[in-house]
Amino acid sequence: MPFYEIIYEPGTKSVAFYENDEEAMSAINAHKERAISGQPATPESSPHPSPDAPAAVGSWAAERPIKVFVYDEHPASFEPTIDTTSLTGSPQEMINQIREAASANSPAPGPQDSQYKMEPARELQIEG
Amino acid sequence: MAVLAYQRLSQLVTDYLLGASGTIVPPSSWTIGLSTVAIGTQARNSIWSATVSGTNINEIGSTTASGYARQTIARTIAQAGIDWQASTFDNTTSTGGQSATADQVTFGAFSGAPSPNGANSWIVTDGSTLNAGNPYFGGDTAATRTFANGDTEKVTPTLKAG
Repeated sequence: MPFYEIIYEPGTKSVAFYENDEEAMSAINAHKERAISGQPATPESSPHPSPDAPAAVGSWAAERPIKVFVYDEHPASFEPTIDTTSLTGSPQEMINQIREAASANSPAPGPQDSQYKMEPARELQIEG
Repeated sequence: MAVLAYQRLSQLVTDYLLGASGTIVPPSSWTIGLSTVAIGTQARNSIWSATVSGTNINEIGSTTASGYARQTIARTIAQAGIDWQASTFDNTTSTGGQSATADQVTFGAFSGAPSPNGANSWIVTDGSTLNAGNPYFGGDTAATRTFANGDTEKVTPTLKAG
């Protein structure tokens, strides 16, 4: 079940599910072409069924994808093994250490790094 | 904008914060999903379900993903990744409270039309399995979003606890 973490040039990150690399590259290349030609990535918008929905409908530019990491499962499903003998400090400090260790998210990812602790199975090369 | 705090969020306050429950606990990371169902037709006890009836919440892409997957928001404040910004306080008695806004999350790029398609709401939830997990709070999208190849969606969720 391949999940793809896409990292875009401004540091934007997303996770997408595609059936295979061909489907992934179709979407990534379509988005990249829009970025190169300065087109928006905004989906088609039609009036919301709720009269209370916000009036302003946003629009945004496409962003150039620069890295794609492939995972066998959703990287948010990462379950770490926690060595409780390494915990130190007061009980509240230990709780904080466990909470940080249990998170699927990397504590301080750089703009072009994965946002997850899970190791990707591989990296998909983006052509061009 | 219609917004909704689901039962599980209230339970976190009553059972986990007040009573230190060991069973009603927050997730290690938040996830956020998109639903075809507008907030106005949901209920506090709505659940994620592939069965489109009553007040169930149906997730886009649950039959054919076409690039859709839930995004994550870390349980941290103002760190380097996608998490929550520093909260702010509104002291207005009737409508005030503490507000927290997450960093903007991006869905896609889509490879085509997911099934079902047409997002009318976003839901902060837990877990990565579609149409599963606990909904915590959500809001209407600004429009019905219909996705196609190369599209992305961007959502910036806010919770105001009054």
